[in-house]
Amino acid sequence: MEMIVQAARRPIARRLWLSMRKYWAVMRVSIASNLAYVYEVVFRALSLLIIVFILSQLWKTTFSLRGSHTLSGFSMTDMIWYLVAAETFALSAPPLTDRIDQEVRSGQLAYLLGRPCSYVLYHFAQYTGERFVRLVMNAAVGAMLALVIAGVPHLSWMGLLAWPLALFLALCIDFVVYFAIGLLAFWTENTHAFSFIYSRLTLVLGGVLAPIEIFPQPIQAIARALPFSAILYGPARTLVHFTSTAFFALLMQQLTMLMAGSLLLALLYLVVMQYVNINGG
Amino acid sequence: MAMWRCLRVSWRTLRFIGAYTRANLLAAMEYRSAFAMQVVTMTANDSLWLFFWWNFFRQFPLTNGWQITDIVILWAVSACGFGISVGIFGNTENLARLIMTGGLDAYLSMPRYALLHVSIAATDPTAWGDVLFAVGAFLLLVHPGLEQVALFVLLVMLVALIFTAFHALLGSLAFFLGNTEGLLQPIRGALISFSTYPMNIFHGVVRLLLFTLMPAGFISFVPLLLLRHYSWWLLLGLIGATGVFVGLAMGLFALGLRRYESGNLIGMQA
Amino acid sequence: MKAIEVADLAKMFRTRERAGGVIGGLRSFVAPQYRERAAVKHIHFSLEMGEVLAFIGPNGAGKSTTIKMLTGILYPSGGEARVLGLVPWQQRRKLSYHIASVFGQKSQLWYHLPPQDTFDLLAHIYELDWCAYQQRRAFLIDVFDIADYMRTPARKLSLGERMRCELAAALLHRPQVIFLDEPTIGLDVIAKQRIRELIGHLNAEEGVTVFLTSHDAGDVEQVCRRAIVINHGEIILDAPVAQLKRDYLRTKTVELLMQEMASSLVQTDQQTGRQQLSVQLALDTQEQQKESGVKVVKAQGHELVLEVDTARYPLEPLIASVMQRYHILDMTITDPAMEQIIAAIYSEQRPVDACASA
Repeated sequence: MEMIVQAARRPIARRLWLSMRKYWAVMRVSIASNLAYVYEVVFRALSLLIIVFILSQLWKTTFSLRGSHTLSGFSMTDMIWYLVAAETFALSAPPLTDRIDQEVRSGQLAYLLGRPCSYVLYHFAQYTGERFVRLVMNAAVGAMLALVIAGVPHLSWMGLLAWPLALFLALCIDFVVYFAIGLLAFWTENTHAFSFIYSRLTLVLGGVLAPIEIFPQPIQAIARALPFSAILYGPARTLVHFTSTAFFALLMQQLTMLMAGSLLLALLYLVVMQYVNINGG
Repeated sequence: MAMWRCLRVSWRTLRFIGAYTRANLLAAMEYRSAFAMQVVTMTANDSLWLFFWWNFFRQFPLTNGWQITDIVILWAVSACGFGISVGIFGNTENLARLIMTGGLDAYLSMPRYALLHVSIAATDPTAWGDVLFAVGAFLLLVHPGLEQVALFVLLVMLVALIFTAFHALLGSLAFFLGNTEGLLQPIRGALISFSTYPMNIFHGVVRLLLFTLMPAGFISFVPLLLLRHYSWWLLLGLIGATGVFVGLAMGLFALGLRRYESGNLIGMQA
Repeated sequence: MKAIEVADLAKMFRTRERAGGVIGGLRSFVAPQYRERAAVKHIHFSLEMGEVLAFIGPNGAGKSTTIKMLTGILYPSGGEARVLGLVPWQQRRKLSYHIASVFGQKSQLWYHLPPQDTFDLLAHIYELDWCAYQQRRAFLIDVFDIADYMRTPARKLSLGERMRCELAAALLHRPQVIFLDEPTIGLDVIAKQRIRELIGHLNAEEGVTVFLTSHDAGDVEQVCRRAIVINHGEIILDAPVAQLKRDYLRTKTVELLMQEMASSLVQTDQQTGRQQLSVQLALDTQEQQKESGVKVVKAQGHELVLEVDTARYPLEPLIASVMQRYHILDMTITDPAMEQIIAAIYSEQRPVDACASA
């Protein structure tokens, strides 16, 4: 009895600290367990190597055909590093939608909601830990490849510092969207199709094949109009061609996307909660 | 007489494959909306990529007589061949897993050629989306004549055989190397990737590779050449290459099967 | 022609020793060390057409290995075997037209397909004449009572329903020998019973030779007429099931949950310290008490566990007399476990060995 009263008396800051520690622990476990999958890392690195190799060959040919050293301000070296940065992020995505879909379908959702831990935050901690490990591994492999193919890049300190922030926000946006799609498992048979389409749109219109400046029209117009560029192009460009105006514009775009996405997620989540409470999972 | 027997066996084999394809398709269509969505999604995905590359090569055309429809042909042939391969012989992708878990036994105890039987036992229905895309793109964007359509049909069947043989080769590695599941995925993806880019961008050793270990050259480049300038020798060459790959796949499988039957596979004890 | 003939059949598995760590891994790559394990050691037996054989033994005894060799999936390290006159691992394809195998744990029915489609595919696989196939199919659907599930995808069927479909599928091409590897594993009591009845029926009606492996003694008792017990790759008993029943399966374990305290049923003999059922004492004479077929294994709280030698003391009168005086809340009767049977066989090893190697 006394313990319960004492817990209630704890100041809010302390309560917040305790609950945050919980999620930090989840993230640590996720990191540790993902580090153990050495082979998975190798295989993903292989995919990265192959794609970047092919794209570098394509761009080498394109550059030499144009007879110029830069395209829309990007030199060959910049281009390779851009591609590596974009692919590093693109290939680091954990299978979140499938996970949520499975938990919804198997009824595990109802069980997990009962735990004294926010379902969303729990998954966020796990997702972030997993994605962090994959990002670091991909970045290491990608950087080595880029050094070999293109040499040392001209990176600015600001770019290097701003890049992780842009990546983190992009990661959050991805989390929110894929989670929301996963929740759709309540209503649709096949969430994988939706996550697949979203991921492809992100790749093509988000600039994994080239910086958006170099996109041919009309694709460039379409890509600029849509927000996908904030996820891949934005952070990669921040690293390779940092300008403060572009960076702040990107932050605005990312934060707007994040807010919109979070709203959508919150809405879906509330509906799902009602569903679960009425039907008991 | 031997010829007659050969024909009879081929006819029965085709009927066998047909029966399985039909059964697998029916099973996939059981969930009608999910199946339709998967097909549409794949078609949309392929179209999105092609849309990008179409515009890219309009802005940055390659030299050496490169035409804009060439990228469409590259995509159409490789997507169609891949789609047919996975739509009919889709279970080849699971060969490695079947070997590791002993699931191969069920097929061995039946009177049909095991590799073929395993391959057609299950399929991935999304593959038909690739076929739909390929046929649509080819007809709508390339405006082919009747002969070209006939040639296209022949080519995609050969390409499908190459894809299947390649997957079977990779899967058969499990007989010797154990659990190779994780490695196979990026290699399969690599083949598809290499097949959808023009050969002009690859030089030297890489080009050699693309006609040997990773037959992307035979999957998209040679068909492209054939569709633009037909040549009997080239077609024969492609048929020959297909034969080589199929032969290699069957050979490696037979070797691996001997090992399997000895029971001494890595990680497997009765 | 005998259905199955096995002479001196042996199988040795060679595995590479796996050392841990990087250095160990390198060493095993350069100079690998092999470990040999004898899964099957020189076994002999033969089966006539139409026999129903139980091939029993604990896990790892060599049952699956033997079946695999007989179906041609595995080739032996030594010895010979012939199934229907053919050498399995050399003439596998030819043999496969005349045999069938059903693995209890690894389902052969294509998971995503309904039995209807699987049957049609099997007709193609075995190249059956279509009219004959349709008649056969109708007959089997009737016998196995699976008409309701023919269009349901296999993954949606319960294990019992799936096993029946699998058995029916296996018999489509009228095999002469059928290998069943643990067909009743994981099934509930009623489903088990049904499968056993079907197997018995098939053997009687169509003369199918049945080679059944199991580690459920109930399968053996009810379905088979002959039993071979294998342990550590060696045959330790080859005898008619009647003999097995008489010698090793006659002890039943009876677990009773009583309303009264278990101690009230039991009396401890002052001289020997042995506990005996007081009900028994009322029925028997002095001499019979000494050689009682009833042993009290446990009498704790409300739980009473007895081991009854049914040859000496039939179950019914015993339970009837207990019921007359006391209130039974729950009762379970079990056969001896395979391990107990094996142990019992080993403890009488000498005379049994002479039988088995003959």
